[in-house]
Amino acid sequence: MAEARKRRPRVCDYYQNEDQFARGVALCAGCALELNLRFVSRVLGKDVILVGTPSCSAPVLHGQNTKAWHRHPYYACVMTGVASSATGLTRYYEKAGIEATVVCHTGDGCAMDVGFQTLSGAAERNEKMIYITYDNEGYMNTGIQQSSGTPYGAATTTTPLGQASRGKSTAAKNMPMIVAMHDVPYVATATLSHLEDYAKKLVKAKAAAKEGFAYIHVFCPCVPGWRIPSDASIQVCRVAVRTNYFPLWEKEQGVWRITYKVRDPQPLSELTRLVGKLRHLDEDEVARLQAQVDYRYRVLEALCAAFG
Amino acid sequence: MVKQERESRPAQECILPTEACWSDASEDTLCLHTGDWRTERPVFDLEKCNACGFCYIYCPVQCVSDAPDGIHYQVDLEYCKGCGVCARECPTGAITMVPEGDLADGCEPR
Repeated sequence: MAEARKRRPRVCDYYQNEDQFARGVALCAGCALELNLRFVSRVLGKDVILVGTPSCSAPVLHGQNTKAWHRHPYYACVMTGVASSATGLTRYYEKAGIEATVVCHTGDGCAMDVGFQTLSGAAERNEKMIYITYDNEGYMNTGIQQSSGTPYGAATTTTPLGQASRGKSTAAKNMPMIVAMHDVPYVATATLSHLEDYAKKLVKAKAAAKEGFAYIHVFCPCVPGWRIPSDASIQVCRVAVRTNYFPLWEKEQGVWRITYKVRDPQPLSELTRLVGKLRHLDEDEVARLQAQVDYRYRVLEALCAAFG
Repeated sequence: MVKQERESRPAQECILPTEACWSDASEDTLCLHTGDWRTERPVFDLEKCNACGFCYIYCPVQCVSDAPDGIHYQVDLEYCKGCGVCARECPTGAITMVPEGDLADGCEPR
């Protein structure tokens, strides 16, 4: 037998408690969101109140058969009002003197389209909460419609691939940057292939949420929506980071920092080859997407250099 | 399929004492036996496994736990959905996905 020594990856040091979710929940096989939910609950600890909306996580968070599939207190509300409802909760817990962290857990559709104004309002008022967006680049729960998080060229059911359409014609919003421009205490991007990085950011966000608004944008591939094999969800996260498609950075108390610097970024074709919804892109279209990725990375680098 | 005696989680106290308990997430009705979905099963090659624990952290279902030998890891087949993330992320290639039909015990869990 090969010499094997019991090891735990360092990320396990950040786990505060047992998994608070039921062992079998109704999310697709290989769903990155399932790992995200279990991970967030493990790292943030027990004093967490989840606030959620109708989304892929709703069957698990709302629950079916009268009860939820987890042990956290949970507040279910409409997509337009998630951040404002959470505002009420934070104010109540503060007034009542109860130590608790309110965590909004919504998809990109809620954060970028439907609930954007309440999110922006809560950020402006600097409410004491954590807002976690799991970005699967579309309305995956209702049948893979495009959202403003869908990237250029992606084939969805509302921007299909055919004679008249070659996927989405416009670019995605740069959502974490938009929230960072609200000058809130903490903004970060994270993904599930770099779990230790993610755990550090969650811990920082929890500390920052004692003073004000903390926002984490999580890149979270969708197996049926992106047409990727069920075993590739973590691999896609990793390639997205290594191609600079989804750079990992944080803005803490006004200082920007790239937390995972990619030395030799791979070309974007590595990602489009892997992801079914982008596989149809020809060279020109990949070049256009690459130009947009490069532009956003240059802006980010410049912001980080200004504080380096 | 033969249903086995399932040990249910002990009922836990509420997370926040001020909140009513929304759920204890332990009852049988609240817990899908997602192992039924599986078409391929992860099989560990202990010769190759270096017990790095990548399968343990990346498993979306979090159904990988410590093996009784104290070194390696094992999969809870009652809940493993057979997605194959563990096999793809394993740095030594110690996990292979074997179709359930090829196994001697067929589709029976454990």
